[in-house]
Amino acid sequence: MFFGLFLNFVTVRKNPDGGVTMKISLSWLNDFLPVDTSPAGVAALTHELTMLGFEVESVQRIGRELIGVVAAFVEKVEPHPNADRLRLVTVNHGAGRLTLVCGAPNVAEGLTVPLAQLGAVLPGVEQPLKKARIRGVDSEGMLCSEVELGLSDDHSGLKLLDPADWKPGDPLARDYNLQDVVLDLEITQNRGDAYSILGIARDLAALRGVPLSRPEAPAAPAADGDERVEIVLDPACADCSRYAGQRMSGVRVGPSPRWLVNRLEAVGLRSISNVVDVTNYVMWELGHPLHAFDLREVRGRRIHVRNAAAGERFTTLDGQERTLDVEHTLICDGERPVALAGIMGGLNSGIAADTTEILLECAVFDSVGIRMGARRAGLSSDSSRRFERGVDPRDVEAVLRRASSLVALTAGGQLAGGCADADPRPWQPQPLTLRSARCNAVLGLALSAERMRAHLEALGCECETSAEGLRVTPPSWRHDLEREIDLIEEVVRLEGYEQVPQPDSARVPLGQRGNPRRELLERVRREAVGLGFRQVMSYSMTDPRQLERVLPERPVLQIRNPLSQEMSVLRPSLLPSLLETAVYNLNRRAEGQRLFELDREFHPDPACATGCRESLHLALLLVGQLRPESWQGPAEAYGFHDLKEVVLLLLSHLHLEGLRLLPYLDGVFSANSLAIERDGERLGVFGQLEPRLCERMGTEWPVFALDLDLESVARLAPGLPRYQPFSRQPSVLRDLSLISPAELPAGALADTLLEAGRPLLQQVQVVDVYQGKGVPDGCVSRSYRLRFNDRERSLSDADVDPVVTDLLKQAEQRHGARLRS
Amino acid sequence: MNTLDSLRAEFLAALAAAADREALAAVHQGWLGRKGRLQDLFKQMRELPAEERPAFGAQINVLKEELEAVFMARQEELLNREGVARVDLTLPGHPVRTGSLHPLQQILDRITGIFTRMGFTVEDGPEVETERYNFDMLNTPFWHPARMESDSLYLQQGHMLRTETSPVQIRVLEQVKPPVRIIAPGRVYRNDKPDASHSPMFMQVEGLYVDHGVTFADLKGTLLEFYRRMFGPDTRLRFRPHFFPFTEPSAEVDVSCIFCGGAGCRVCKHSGWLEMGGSGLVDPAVLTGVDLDPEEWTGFAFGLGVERMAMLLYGVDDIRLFYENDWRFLEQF
Ligand SMILES: [Zn+2]
Repeated sequence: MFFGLFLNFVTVRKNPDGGVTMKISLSWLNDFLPVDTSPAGVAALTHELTMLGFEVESVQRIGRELIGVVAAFVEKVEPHPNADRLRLVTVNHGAGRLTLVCGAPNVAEGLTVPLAQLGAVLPGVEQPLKKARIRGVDSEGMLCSEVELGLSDDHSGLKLLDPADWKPGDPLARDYNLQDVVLDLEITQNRGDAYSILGIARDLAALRGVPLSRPEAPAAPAADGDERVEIVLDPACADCSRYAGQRMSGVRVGPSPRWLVNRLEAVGLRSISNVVDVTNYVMWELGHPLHAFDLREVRGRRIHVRNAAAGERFTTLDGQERTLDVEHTLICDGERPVALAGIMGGLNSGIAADTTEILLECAVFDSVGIRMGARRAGLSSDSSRRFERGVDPRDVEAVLRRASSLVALTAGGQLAGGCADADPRPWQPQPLTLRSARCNAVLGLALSAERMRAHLEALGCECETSAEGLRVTPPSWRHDLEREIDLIEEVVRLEGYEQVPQPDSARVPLGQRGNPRRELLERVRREAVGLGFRQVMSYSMTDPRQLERVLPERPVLQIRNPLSQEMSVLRPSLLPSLLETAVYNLNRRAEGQRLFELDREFHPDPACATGCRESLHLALLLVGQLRPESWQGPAEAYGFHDLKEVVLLLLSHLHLEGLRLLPYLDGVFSANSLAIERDGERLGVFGQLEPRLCERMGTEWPVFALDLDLESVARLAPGLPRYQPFSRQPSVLRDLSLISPAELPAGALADTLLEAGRPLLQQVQVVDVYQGKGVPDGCVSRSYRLRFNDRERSLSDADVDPVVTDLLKQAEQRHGARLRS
Repeated sequence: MNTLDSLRAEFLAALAAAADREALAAVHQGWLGRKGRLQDLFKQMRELPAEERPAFGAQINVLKEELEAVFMARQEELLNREGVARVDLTLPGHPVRTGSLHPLQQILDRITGIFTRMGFTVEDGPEVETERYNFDMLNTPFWHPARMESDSLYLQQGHMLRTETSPVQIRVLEQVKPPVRIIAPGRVYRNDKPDASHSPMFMQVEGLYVDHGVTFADLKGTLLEFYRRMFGPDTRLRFRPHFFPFTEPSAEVDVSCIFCGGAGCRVCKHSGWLEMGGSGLVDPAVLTGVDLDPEEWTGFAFGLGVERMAMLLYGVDDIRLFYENDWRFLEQF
């Protein structure tokens, strides 16, 4: 079935399964459950994730390690006894005091600065820091600028730390440890709940059977009064089932703290400002997209969610004006749209440098609605990708609490009133039944109901024992658990696919039907190879211009969204591409080509359900040198009779009876061509292709080809050959040289001889054709070798002579042929 | 000296005098042939008294055997001396144009051969398909990205080029009551620009088995058997959870690396595993769609890529080589 792009296993470019790639940082994941970042620990984690169904596409170690660097308080600065530019500095590093030599211009008492202690490992330096004697004074450490810490190229002076944030002795690694391990995970289409750090942690905790810890989210301080915004959901708008907004005041927009920037950068996000960064951070962490509005721009302090009008225009945050249709949902304030719901905010209401009051939005939008809306708008965002896969409708309060807590931490601010929450259609749990017997029957396992229950509960399901097994209520974040089979899948996923027995041989039912059509194709391919032809395979899609050169005005099926013009129509014949391949190879030092292709032609046909009649053809082609020049003689080119022999052998090997060869000519096959017919139905054509056409395709060699309709051949159901008893008696041979008018075809005379010589005459072969001295003008002399045989007895001259006399008479009467003396 | 001794002497003299094939043949005819002189002796025997005949007959027979042996030796000697007409062994051989099957055909034949011996029937279907068979019947939601024009190729007149051979499975299930055990090999199409690892057209083999009581274990056992026959008896498989709309549970199938046996190498990117294709139990919705009761019937389905297999087995690093048909490529298979 639709098993992905198998070629994608070579490299991933598109993901037709609808999966997405998400980066997760292991230090971030460590907030939820213990993560071992040693190489062995990462390998074990990779295996756990893989067997949970999250393919690990890459593992990347990023950043540098800061070991032995702590915050230190500068207590005293004194001049260096031996150097004007250096000072002696005494610092408190939490665990004591030490003195060191410092040359930084900005060093001063009362500052908090980074101190590399003895033994510290600094980025880009192999050796741990050692005690140094500088101009006669021992230095027991080093105060650092951003350069030494590897944070930037700024070496103008010591890096200053905020004393409010840093106590002496705090390791700088707390904020400036950029070292982390980042995994690229493939999240399959069905697992919207896993599209976050939390989601991955939840599955891991269930697998390991350990509890999940959530990062603390202390409530942000609250301002006086309650000034929550008014929220109105238009009843006609089906795509928004819940909308919550938290107002915050006293916010100072500015850069984010280093730890926040680090985490965002680790997972591939760019830091913008503290408020915006928090919304992205919480989305990545909890999987629920948020949006922050500048409350100044939310006119009327009112949010109105409605469908867009067809043709309505709206400029999104990226500065692009977009034309919407009724499938889009708009978040509006009292007067105008301020966001394209679930996809992107508006340019008119984003967070600015001087924003002080914000509205944090956390809403639930319909997954299909957002998917279609994003596709229509040609805009896919981190937000839309999450809504498309479904968010947890019950985590809105937790998400807003986490976000407002982080805003308060990084940008100050207070909650201006409670959370406004419109939730007109609250999520309802949908209990399911899991029959334990059914589960085992489908999987081929023998698990107890308790074991199934343990797996499902670990994933957040609520389970009750019922008569048949379990009554299971999936958690609000698992939209993919809708049927019993979905629960069975969860059971086997946590039990482990490797636990399912892998019998040495699966049961095999009774014999299967044969496929005579396929067997015929196999036979034809075998024959063609046996006759010395190489099989080629070309694209079914071809270039209409190319086609026009070979088969003008053929009706073709056109691809609506072709990759290129070269691949924009389906080929109505195998010949053009076969000819193209032959020319391609002739241009690459192939002296002679014997090629065949066996595949489908495509013809427009309204009578077919698909609008297309597909018919299998064999195309076979000869061009160039039959024999290359060698010590045995000069090169020899293929001629019509090389093809004829091949075609007749092929047809005879297929045991087709009653075939007739008739003269044929069309724009593709020249007059040197024959049609193969049976009972008036044409099975195929072979002969020399029109030289003009071959020249247009790039070769001056004569080209000989066969086009055989295998659908017709299959209808004739060529079967097994019928055994013909053969004669064990010796044959008598006679050679006759006959002079006849040159226009008389050799075959016609041979037919006459054969007919007249029956039943003793078995075979007539042309062994020589001669024109010239001794033969009158306009005539030709042909030597026929006649083979006489009788199955019962050995023939003598007395038997053969009267037959020869008779057939000579016939040849003379019917064709004016006479014996050459 | 009796008659027999003189006869022997004469024969040996004549034989020694025979210097070529013709002379040798004349000696044979004159002495050992049907009208030769030894035959004359048998005629003379009839004139002897009856009691002497047996002894004389035995003597003639002994002589005949002796002369035959001498003759054979002499003939051998003469022919050896004569030898064959010598040719120049260093000249090149006569050129012969041989045929060959396309490398993909050879791999496809191998795959279908194994499945056929495992009891699968080979089925065909159209390459121009309706969206109903290509997507709807396979439980692919209307919003699924595979339906987009950026992923699939559609025809101007409507309908599309099949993106997988699974529609064949649906067509078969509509017509045949289970048990059904089939594979559907064939060309499939995707809107992918050709490069070293992508092709807008490639070949797939998909398999389906629907019967009473088919389990996930049957899927694992069947694929294990197939890949062992394909890659050797030590092959191991790994099934990883995945998602496909038409199977549940779904699994990606990895084969222990055929180059390093699982120890890790460049080809398997040091993982020890090679991804081979998807698989899973047929989703109940797919069975319901073809009027089969999922309570009564279960089944499994799987897919694999022919080019992928050929690239691995032949060490081909650019998929476009298969459809370029350069003779310098084709002649290697
Ligand atoms: Zn390997």
